[in-house]
Amino acid sequence: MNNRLRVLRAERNWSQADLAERLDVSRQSVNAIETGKYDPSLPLAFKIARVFGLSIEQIFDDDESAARAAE
Amino acid sequence: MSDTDTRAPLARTPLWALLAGMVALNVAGGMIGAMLHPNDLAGAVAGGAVGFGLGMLLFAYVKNRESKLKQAAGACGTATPAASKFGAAMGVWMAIYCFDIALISWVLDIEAWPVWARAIAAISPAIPIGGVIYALLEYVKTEPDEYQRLLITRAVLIATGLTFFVLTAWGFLELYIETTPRFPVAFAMTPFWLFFGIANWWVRR
Repeated sequence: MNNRLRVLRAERNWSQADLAERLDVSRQSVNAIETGKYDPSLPLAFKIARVFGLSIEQIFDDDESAARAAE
Repeated sequence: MSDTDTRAPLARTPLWALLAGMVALNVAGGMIGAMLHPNDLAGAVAGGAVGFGLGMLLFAYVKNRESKLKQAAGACGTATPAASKFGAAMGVWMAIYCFDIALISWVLDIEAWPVWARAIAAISPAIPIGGVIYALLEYVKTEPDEYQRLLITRAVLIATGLTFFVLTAWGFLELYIETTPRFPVAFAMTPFWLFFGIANWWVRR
């Protein structure tokens, strides 16, 4: 699953630690999500969306939706 | 942290200082044991075990303090209050384990006891091991960070698998190759912790 976490974080000038604090998770978790090593659970995805004030779809997109968009 | 965040970073005890304190207690215990029983190696071993147990109590105290500070100030860093709480519980159980082994091996003369009492004394070191496993399960259950939960579960699974793999292989080597040194099954938890340490590093690399 792809995500725009790094871009959104950079736009707000937040470090990984800043975002981790806001999400109440470890910095390691933020890094794992950003690099695609780990896909967050639905509750955490909602929390991420709330922190950025966006919908989940505006932050995450799976391979299928990316392929559909390309068609 | 950002400018708007008022939470202060948590002042943690440096790991090297904690480990140095634990080693110092271990060595001091061994030296005191050797001085009390100069002609018997068992004295140094018993003293070392008690010193190691005291070191684990120190570890438990520091981790418990960290856990309380984190809960009061809000977690800041990789280790959550749940992780520190696990560290503290593990320290206490391992201290009990060390004191128990020192007690039944070098302090009490259990050879003179009836069989049932000796059996109870013999299985008593397994109780703190059960306590550590319970603390580990509680940690996995209470850790709020789902990614950390996944990592620790992976590390435990890898460590358990490697322990079974190595001990099974070693057991059959003992059966079919007479020259294989006997592995004391009583210390099966030792390779588990060794593999857990390696696996914990591996899953986080």
